Amino acid sequence: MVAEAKEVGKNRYRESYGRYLEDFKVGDVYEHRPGRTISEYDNTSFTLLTMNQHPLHFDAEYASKSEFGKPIVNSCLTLSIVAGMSVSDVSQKTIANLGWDKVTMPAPVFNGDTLYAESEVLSIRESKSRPTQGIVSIKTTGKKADGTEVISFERTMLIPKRGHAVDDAANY
Amino acid sequence: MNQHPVHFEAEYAAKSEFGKPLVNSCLTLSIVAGMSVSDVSQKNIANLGWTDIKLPGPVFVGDTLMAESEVLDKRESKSRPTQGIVTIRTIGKKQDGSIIMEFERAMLVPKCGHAVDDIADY
Repeated sequence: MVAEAKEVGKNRYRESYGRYLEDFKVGDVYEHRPGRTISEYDNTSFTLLTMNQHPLHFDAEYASKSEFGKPIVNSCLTLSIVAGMSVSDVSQKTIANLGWDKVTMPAPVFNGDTLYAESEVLSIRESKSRPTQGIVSIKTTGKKADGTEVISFERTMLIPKRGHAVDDAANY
Repeated sequence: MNQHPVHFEAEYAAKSEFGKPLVNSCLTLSIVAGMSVSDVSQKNIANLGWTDIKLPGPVFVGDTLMAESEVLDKRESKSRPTQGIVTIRTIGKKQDGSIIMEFERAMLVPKCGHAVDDIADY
């Protein structure tokens, strides 16, 4: 389901990731692995790459005067990493990401924190306009190693039915 | 940690409906939000969250993005008397004017004299 070794010839196997529409079930929870420890390099380089110059993310002297006492991880990076962690299971066969909603950040993330993610399937429906595809909504939660929830969001994706992924068209 | 080949494998992407690699929408979101920071949130205490993040059009490598933000709501914080909550809608557009992203973002913003900048004599 998540990762498959497809037999493509005698003694020959090819790795394949992600789910087709038929592989999702409402209410299932997928725990994603591996986790990731966020480094100062991740935080500083991503923040500046994305045109964000808020000193709370990379000026330790400034951050020491804030209520956090030290630099906090850019929440766009937290969102991107937690969403990225979910891809190999829920969306590596996606046709397209359709959007997010209800993104909340209940607790700060600091350099050196380790994040894990899990996703619950909220809804599944067939697409009216694209008969070989459907729309799946999930709720993904990011937590630190001590169990503290740091982010949650709902994400909606366009998912192909079995045999109708780009992987199938490309004989991937 | 995203290994979706549509973002970085041109041969795979050529077989998709997009025909070429698609920019990761997490990157688009981060850049469009980042573009707004120097104006709306560089004195923020914290980012509170996003709602209604929509992706009406794809972004490709080589596209040029611009962003703009409209102030939707502003209120004082009940629990933090030196701060308030501002909500904005940010729109990202491509070079041809088409909208490729929009979202609402809520932020905890300090009153004059109460930013970390003021405490830190920044």
